[in-house]
Amino acid sequence: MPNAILDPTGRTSHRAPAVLAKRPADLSGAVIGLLENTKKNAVEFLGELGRLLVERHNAAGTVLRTKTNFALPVSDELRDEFARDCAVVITGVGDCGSCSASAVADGVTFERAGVPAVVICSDAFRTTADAMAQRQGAAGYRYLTTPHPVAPLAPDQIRQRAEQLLPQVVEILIGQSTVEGSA
Amino acid sequence: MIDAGKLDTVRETLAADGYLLDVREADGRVAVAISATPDACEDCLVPKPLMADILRDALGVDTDAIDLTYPND
Amino acid sequence: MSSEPGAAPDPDEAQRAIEYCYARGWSDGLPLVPVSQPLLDEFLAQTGRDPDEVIGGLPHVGREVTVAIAAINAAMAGCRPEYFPVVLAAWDALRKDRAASGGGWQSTSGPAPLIVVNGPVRTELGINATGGVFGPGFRANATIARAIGLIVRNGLGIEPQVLEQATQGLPGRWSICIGENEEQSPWPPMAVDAGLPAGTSAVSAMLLRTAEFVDNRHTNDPEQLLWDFADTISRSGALIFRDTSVGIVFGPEHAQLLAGAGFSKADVQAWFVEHCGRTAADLHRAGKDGVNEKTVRYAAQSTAAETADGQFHRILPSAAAVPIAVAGARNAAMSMVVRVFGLWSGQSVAIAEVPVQEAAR
Repeated sequence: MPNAILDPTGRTSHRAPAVLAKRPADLSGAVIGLLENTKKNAVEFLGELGRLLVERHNAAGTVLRTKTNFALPVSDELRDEFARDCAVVITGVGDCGSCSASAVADGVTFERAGVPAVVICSDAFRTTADAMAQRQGAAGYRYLTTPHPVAPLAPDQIRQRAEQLLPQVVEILIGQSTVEGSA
Repeated sequence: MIDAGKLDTVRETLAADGYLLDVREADGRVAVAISATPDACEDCLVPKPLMADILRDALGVDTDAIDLTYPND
Repeated sequence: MSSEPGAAPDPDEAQRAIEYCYARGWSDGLPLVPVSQPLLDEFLAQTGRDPDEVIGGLPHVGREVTVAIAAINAAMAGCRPEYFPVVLAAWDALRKDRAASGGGWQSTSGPAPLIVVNGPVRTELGINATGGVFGPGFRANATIARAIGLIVRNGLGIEPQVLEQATQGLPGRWSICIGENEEQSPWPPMAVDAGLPAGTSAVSAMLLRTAEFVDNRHTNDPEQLLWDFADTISRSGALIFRDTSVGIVFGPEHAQLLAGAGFSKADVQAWFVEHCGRTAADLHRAGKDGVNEKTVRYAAQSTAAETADGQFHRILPSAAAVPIAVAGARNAAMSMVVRVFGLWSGQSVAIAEVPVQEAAR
């Protein structure tokens, strides 16, 4: 058997373990964790998504918690509480630089704690969100975006945005997608 | 070495929070100054190490070669 | 696979292997040597260093260069295994150049490494130091320089028009590896200038923006000759910052003329520091009369009166900004001015001895 031709490209060899938590088959009976970050319309946006998941996907209900500081990562206590009480978590809304970054970091934290998570950011902060994912060893981490800005939206506009995002939220929470961590 | 497209994206990202970006290249180093407009969103700037990560991709230099200044420095 | 000694290898198989490498995007444009594990082992046997030792990387694109990756690229470039210690020393020497570690490989100026080899390794490996030293025609010179280019391309993942942003690039990038003509140089070798003992096999390296000839077979007056160099060194098109760095690869005739007139290497450097530069009027004419707080030149709104006084602006800050080597044949009085991209580190890297026990394995 002939020798293989060797690959000359340099790659980092140390890869982080897989990032994503195992997905449930469906959301029937699931408790949906909602982690809002105090930004204007975050409670409304996440609440509407929770309501739709209960109404259309037979989720059991929602648990709403508030971050103490939108710019900082979720506390260990809150992470453990969600991991104990909820099947999945939705967090957001990242509509500024620091809160988008911390939302993505939180999403990765939840996944590593075994809780499937959906992160919602406004589309103006993709660069920030991507950079944080990379820094967390989760380059390519998938989060959802909604057009910037979110703060000035009226209640009916929020409901509309939530409706639009719902299929992708479900897809991420029960999808089979896997992201390998890379440094 | 600067990726103008990526840098514009960084500029727009900062502008969404009310911040301005100034980039100057000299002698293999890049000086980046971020300044606040009157309606800048306080606490919305990401920590410097993360900003350096973002700039590294746009500027094409290692973070060691970036001198980053924030409004309150 | 076995083949009879002396029998010609299968050209069709060789061509398929070469095309395989092209198809994977590994080539700098020219054919590559396809590398197998046995060939890699021969390269690794030439160094005592751990194949997994990391010798460079671009963390933000997830790239890391190890000794083994460098060896594969050196083999692909056409190096013989015994050249590998020189490639490693050249890589280490370049890593001492701040410009090469701070994004220089991606720069719009597309700089080329200049690799200068000193010591007995030149004759042992057939590294050309005399006629046609800037190439082509010599396997060691051509492939050692090419190996560095392939390490940058494949190891670091810096490909033209992607991460590499060269506006025009320059002819000779990845092909400038020269032996110093120590035998015909009147001065100490570059590696000795850098503090290594005489007779050490060593590599010095820096990034260049270009190389420009000075052909002066016209005068025997050292001052006239130096003024001819000063004109090329001082051309305004190359001035970007307040200070610049310019190396000289003297042909043996020019070096011997200067040494014969009593000039040491330090004297030549001091002469250039003193005499190279432009008047305020020259700089104004080219839109480079201002210098900002970052020492970058700019078009200042000087008035004619302000620039008419003939004020002379020197451009070489110190002898360290004027590295000097001697190379080429002693058959005509010509030299090369090499335009340094950053600043030579002033450090040369000794070439490691081949580990005997490793080689016997």
